[in-house]
Amino acid sequence: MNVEQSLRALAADDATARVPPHVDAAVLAAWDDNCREHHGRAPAARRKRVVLGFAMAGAFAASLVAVVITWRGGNEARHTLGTIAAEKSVAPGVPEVVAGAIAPPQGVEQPMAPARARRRPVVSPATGAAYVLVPDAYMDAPLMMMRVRMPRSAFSRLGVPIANPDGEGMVDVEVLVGEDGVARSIRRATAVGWVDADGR
Amino acid sequence: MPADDRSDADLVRRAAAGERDAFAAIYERYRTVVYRFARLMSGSPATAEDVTQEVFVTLIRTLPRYEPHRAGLLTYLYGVARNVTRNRLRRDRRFVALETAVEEKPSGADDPCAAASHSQQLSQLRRSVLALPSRYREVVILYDIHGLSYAETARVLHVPVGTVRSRLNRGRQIIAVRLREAESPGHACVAARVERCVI
Repeated sequence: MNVEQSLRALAADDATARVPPHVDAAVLAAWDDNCREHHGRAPAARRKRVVLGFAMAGAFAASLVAVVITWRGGNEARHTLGTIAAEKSVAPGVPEVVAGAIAPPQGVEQPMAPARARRRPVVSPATGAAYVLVPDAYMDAPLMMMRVRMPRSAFSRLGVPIANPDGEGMVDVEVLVGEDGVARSIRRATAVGWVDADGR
Repeated sequence: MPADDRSDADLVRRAAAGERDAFAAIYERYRTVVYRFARLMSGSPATAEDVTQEVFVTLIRTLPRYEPHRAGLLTYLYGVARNVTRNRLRRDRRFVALETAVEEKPSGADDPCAAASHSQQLSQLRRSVLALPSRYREVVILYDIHGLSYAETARVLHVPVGTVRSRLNRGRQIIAVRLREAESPGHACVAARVERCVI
């Protein structure tokens, strides 16, 4: 028997080979899995995209509203403080910049603070490091922090002596301002995180 | 199951559209061809089962991208089976197989001696085919055993028809030499060893 005849005999023998049933089952299961993946996941993915889109749009709208509110509140607060500073204090012992934000000493009438601020005339300055809180301030209302520069002497007149390492006579303070533009508390700004590349 | 007379292109189109019956018809039509090819190439029924499964899973994934005008479905499946088998053999050559011989079915012939002799010849032939370098082995399997034409074999292997002819001729020569060596006295102790060329 030559090679070609032998190979034909091998082909006839090989033709009886059959694929085991478990292979059939595995292949058809793979088909079913693939169909589930394509036809089942696509709508879910679309739903997820729609939900994500709505969430992003909502977040964008909320942040836009927050920015507008913050901007408007900041403008109003700056305007209030600026007006107060410009009108000067009626009492000689009250610092200029904080006259409207922090109430004057006892017996001194607040010149132009809003109605809610007039009900809180007392200031109790503690230390320079901590905020000086107005005792009956409405702390549940939203506050905004403003950083302003004021004369060191005015700050000292509140009862908080401050060293003046720069020698310029001015000191940075942070003021918590309410929605009504009235300062709720004040403290000296500390230079935390303002260290430059040289470590100064 | 009754024979499905729908064309391959029609079945592929329907299967790509998600029709399970169409894919089942494709699988029914070509599963044995793929399995036999992989079994002859690897010499292992277990490997052939894995290859068959992988080939059709590949078909499932590539059905939407399959272009019937570029290659017939059978040619495409042979090509995938060839690549998968070669990868599998390349990966497995680091291991020593515990079971390398194709299991032999009991013969129903009247003459047990003749049946035993026939079975032995087939086993020897399988070993000889398995020992061929893969470039010769695949040509011998496709042309001589699976009955493809020169042109079809050339399309599956992406080689010219002349290359198919030369490889076929060379493969047959190697098989003939091996069969002669196996029939020569003193070779019996070596013949039991099954070798598979992975080059």
